[in-house]
Amino acid sequence: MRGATLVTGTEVLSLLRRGDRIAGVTTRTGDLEAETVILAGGAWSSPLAATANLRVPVTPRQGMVVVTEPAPFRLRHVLKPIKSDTDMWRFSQPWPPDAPGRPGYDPNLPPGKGMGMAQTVAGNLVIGSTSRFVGLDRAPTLAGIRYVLESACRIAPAIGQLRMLRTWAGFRPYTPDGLPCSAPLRA
Amino acid sequence: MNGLVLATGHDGSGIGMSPVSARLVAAAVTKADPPLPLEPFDPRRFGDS
Repeated sequence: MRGATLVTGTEVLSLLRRGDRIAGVTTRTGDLEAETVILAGGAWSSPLAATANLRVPVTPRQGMVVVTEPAPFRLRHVLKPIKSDTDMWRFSQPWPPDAPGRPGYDPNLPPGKGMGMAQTVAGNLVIGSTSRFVGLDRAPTLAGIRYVLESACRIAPAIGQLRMLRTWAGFRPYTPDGLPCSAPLRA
Repeated sequence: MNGLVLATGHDGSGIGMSPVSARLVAAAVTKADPPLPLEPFDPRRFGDS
């Protein structure tokens, strides 16, 4: 068969396992059979794999983002931390000491470092971010928002004059060595 | 596990890494030789699986 059928807005609830193979997925609207299933579930990959008793070493790494009102100036670049302290720390440790389930884990650790900023066509600044291991908890914290804004104001003090429109937290699919999990998953 | 291909764990770099990840996935699905060695991306590289 050629071509493809896109099924959007349909949450996959679990992998459909038959013995030693994955035969499809179970969705809210029924099962979908497939010769091959590609698990590209981002930070949700681990719980999805667990529905078939498989382990994928991916942990949600939460980050908070702040959006401002349109700024009366233009950023000429997207600002991104290439070698933030977070990255240095991430690549130098086998597993973060504050990862869930590890000794020393503290869900109230101060937000991590690593500031990034971009501007929408309308002029809004989208500013991030923090780094915390809190499972799939989506709630931004005042401390995190303050950290993001203070970091941004150190680089561009004029941001301090802007109003914040909204904030949210999202999840990066973190692995201990910073490399992805790719390829066939063999039993 | 037969029938399952992984493309996850890209942390904050998923957009940038998506072209090469797509090549790895395409090779896995079509059972072609992977364009890169897969060992560094093995999900079992941290031990227990």
